[in-house]
Amino acid sequence: MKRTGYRVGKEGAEGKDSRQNGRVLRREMADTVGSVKEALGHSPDLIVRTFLMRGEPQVQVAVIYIDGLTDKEKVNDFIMQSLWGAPTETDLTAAKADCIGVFKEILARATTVGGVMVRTDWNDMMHSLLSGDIVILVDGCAEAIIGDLRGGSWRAIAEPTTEVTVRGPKDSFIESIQTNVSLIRRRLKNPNLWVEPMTIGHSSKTDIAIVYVRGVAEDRLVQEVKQRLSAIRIDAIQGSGYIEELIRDQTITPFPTLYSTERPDMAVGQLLEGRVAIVVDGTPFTLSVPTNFSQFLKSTEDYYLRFHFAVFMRIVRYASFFILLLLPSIYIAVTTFHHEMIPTILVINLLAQREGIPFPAFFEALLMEVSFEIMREAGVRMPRAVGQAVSIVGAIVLGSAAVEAGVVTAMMVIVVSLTGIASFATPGVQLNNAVRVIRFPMMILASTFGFYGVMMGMIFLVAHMTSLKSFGVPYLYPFSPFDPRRQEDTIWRSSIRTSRTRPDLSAKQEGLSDASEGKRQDS
Amino acid sequence: MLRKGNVKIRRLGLPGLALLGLIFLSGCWDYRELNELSLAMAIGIDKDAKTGDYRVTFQIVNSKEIAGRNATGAVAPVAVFTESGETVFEAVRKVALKGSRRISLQHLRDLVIGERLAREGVKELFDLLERDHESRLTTRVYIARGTDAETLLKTLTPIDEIPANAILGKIQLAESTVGENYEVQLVEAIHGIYRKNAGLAISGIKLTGPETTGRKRANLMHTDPPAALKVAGMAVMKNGKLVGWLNRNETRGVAWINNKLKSTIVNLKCEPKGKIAVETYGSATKLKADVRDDRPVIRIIIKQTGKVGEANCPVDLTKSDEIKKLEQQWEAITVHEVKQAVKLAKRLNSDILGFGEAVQRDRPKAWKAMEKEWGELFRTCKAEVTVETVLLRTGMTTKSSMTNK
Amino acid sequence: MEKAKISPGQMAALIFLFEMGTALVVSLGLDAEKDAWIAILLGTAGGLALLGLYASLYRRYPDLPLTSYAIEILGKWIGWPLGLLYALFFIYGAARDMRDGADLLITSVLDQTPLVAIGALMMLTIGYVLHKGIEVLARTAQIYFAVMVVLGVLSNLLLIVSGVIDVDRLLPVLEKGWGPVLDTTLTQSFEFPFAEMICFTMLFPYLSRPGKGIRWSFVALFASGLVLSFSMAMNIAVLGVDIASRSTFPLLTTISLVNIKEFIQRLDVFVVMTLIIGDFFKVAIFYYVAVLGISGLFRIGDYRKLVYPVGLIIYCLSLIIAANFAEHIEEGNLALSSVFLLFGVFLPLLLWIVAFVRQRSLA
Repeated sequence: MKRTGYRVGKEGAEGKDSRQNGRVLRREMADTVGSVKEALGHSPDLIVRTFLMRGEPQVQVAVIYIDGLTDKEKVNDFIMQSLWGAPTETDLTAAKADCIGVFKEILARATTVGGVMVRTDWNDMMHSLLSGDIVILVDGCAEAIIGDLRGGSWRAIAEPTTEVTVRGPKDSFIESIQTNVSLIRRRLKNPNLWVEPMTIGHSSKTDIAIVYVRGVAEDRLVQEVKQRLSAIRIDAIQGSGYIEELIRDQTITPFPTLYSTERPDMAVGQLLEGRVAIVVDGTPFTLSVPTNFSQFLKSTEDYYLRFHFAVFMRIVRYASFFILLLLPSIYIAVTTFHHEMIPTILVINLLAQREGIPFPAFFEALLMEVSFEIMREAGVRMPRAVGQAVSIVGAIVLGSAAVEAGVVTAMMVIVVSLTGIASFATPGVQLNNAVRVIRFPMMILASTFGFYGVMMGMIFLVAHMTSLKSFGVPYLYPFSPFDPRRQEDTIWRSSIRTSRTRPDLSAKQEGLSDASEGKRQDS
Repeated sequence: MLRKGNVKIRRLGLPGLALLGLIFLSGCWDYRELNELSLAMAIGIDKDAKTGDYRVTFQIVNSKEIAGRNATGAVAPVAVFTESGETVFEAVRKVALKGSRRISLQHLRDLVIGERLAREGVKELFDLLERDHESRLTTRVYIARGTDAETLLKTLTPIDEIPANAILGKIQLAESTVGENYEVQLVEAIHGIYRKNAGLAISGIKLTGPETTGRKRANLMHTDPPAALKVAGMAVMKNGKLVGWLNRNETRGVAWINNKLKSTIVNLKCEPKGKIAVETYGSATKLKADVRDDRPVIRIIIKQTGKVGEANCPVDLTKSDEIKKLEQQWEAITVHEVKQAVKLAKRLNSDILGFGEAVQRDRPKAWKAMEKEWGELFRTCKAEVTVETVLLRTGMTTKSSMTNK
Repeated sequence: MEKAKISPGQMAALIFLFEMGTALVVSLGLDAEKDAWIAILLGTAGGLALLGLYASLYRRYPDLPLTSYAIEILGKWIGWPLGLLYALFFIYGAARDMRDGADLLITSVLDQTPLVAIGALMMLTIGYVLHKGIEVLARTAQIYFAVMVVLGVLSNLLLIVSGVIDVDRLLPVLEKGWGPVLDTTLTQSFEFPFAEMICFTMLFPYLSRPGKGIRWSFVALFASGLVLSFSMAMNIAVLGVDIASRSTFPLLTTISLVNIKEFIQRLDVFVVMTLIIGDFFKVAIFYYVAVLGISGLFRIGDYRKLVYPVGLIIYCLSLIIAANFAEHIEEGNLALSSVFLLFGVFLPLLLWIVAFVRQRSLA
């Protein structure tokens, strides 16, 4: 799964390719078929069916497709059968029975499928073939008919696995870009929803769609997205994570500056806020830009619940964000530097717990946090059945056994578990990962300088975050730069009835429009 | 892109490296594990009669006995160490050597001063506690009545296993139920002691029973421990020296004037016989100063509310007339006690009532002239007492059960 | 100058945090005893007048920082050296405030930690932020302004709940007349922290909306004066004037009296946080304007090149500036009534007069 990052200009590479092979579409069908087979190394999943069409004179036709990428039944039903049966002899005779005539006839009558195109370029044809279209070649023509019969098996639309809601819709994106775009369009029946296709990856030729609502998303933003995407020079795209890393603004930061979601309703919500979505084929995670910090602490659930409760949930999430980031370091700072803050009874209790503990508080915390991370990693990557065993063992070993053995204090176990739970309570996985990493340097600072270290770490962190931008939008917007008019959907979510402005910088400042009417219904 | 990244890494490199170095080369400066510390809950200060050195006693909590899961019950819940030194600080440092850990003053609750030292003067004691960043100004101050602080702190107490907490609890209870004592925080003590010609009343604690028994855990084996600590009146200080004691029945007036009274019980007489106990639960005192004929006049204005706690006589509490009568009687008792307190303070010639401050506040110009002779002028103060009482409630019953007889 | 814009709100946040700086926690104006708060209010009035002077200079040269318009006004031969002196003054100011903050930290919480280490952490963080530019500093200020407000409100609430406030301790007002109050105002509470506002003459050109920006600056300065005065009054009301004036760190002592049910107690950390935030922004602003001044005077295109070198100078200077805390404070009092007065008041006044006269003579 390694990205082979050679950076050759797109055109240069392809030019070289076609010259090297010297393959073109020929008038002689057999030659072309041979070239295709040769180009794919006589791969067994390449299906070539050649036959003579009925009529006089008999014309040789070839149907080429790739097994598994194309819907086989449809090929049989709509292509084979019609090619065999449809044209009468008179038609063909009338068509003068030359190649062009047959070609036109097939185009006009025989291919009973929706999307049909004619390709004259070898590379275009191969791209279509490898994307799952079928190719029909007619002897005597240097052109190919492409029929859109992409199919084969995809994972069915299932419930989202990473962003679960209680009351929201239960569908999620899958690995097919067509399905994913259709999921978006189904929720946004607006002609202004524009989809612009793009292909990235010299080898993978991954389909990408830039989706936005025209008139809501700023043109500048769309241009910027297109420009950044077309600047990508890479061999293969394996998932949206590649795109994310290649088009984000800053390179050295643990914080995510692109939002990725597997929920169509979330993606639609983002589009209506004037963001641009990037749908990548082969990955169920759709990206949207620009994004900001507060986005990662939102859940679509917020919009399905009463806003009072949504606000409460958001406060809980912000709190758990800070717990995840700061609790271990504050615990270290308080118990090793600022004992005076702890209520007297508690400090006696802690002191009693610490008697006989072999590790200094800092190492104790480090040990526990690292063990927690190991357990978590094991639990995530393991098959589900084993994962449960991991969590049971972890709970026993890290929990009671460690305390019983007098290796760690019970308080530390509480702190670490609270941190762990807090890391599950923030919806944005990417932000979570960033914070999980940052808490370790914070712990080091806390154990060196106490609260002074924590404070300095926080100032450093906030400054770093304010310096980040996501497609030109400051990361901490609208907290800083502070914008009082844009606080409707940050920590506070005001009632949908009263919210009249679009919640984001990238959107134009305007009242309710058709598009946000749509949002009322959908998200 | 990679190259751009490298430049950024290099730019971050130098400060980053410096930061790493800073962290890993650090000694453990202020990093102190909890189990490297001894938590001192109380400090006692005495004066060695022979050498004139300070004797400092620390009551250190034995956390395992208090909060540990495997408390044995065989070990005393606190350890008490004493050491002397020429300065308090020296003694403090030397005490630590008796144990094995650094003594932390951060959770110090009580400061007990031996009576002998208190009589000689305590002005020198407070500098350390005010200067040290660990100690706290909310520490409560007491005087060990009739004994030295060391003996007092070595006595074990039942139920509240840490004697320091027990002392504090006793005072707080006395303050909030009978109003006879009030806690004096270090910050208030410093005020009273360093203000010129000002007085200060500090709660006293005394030891009853044999001191040697008090030191052993065996003391707690009794249902009624033979050696016990008791709240014992308030010490009257003047210019940092103890000049006399107020007994239990005399201290309430002082608490009243100093606006320290939270709750108390006043027994009222009842016609023809019996008693009615009134519980005060809100009391606010204001001092207003005036100067008449070069003589300071202090108006003491007390507003208090209360309820009937017990009525052992046939009185109809549903009638507002009766209530009014009770209120008047209650007022009279309050006025009497307050005047008594003023008289006592004058006798001891210590301005424990904050009259000087009242004059300074209300008559700053006159104060300038009086300031220097306030020590003498205080005796000439005239006190006028106004009390407003409201008997708000009569409890769960209205008429007493005796009304039927 | 970098290409950056500061919004009025951000400028206000910067000014507020700058004024809080170390002034909030030290015994400001306590020479006037109980009337310290009046002295601070008078100082604020002086500060507002001073800001008027700076604003008027800014209106005359809306695109230039102080070190540049000094050259415009006084000509190259006098203006340039003056600009350099200002840059040195800013470096000195940064070093002083850094030492202030570090010393207070050591006194209050980190008594075993060496000055070298505390300063280094502070310097590295500030260096990083300044490297990111003034916009990042201003936005960070906005966030920490909010933090500061929360801390302030919370501390005051806790003090009220603990019932340690005794307003009587503030009485009588003006016991010794106006004399000591005015004296304190002139020698102390006017220069510190209000005359230090001179730094902002270097930052005003970044304002995105000049008119509103200046108005907000006035508001921020006034608000910070009120807060300083209020907190000093609070210190006296809680501690009484004798303890407050003996304390190196009255606010810390005040907050240490919070005790709610023996549970919430010793919230020293609140004050320490306030100190760290305030000191951070104060040093950062002095440091930034020093870098800006130098890069302008020596025509160095990218000020970023200077961030770490100047930082190192400030760092070293802060270490050698005084041998001990007492010397540092003594030197500070001397500097306040001479250096800060000269650079904060007299020189800008001179610039203004010369500019005014030259404009007249031209017209």
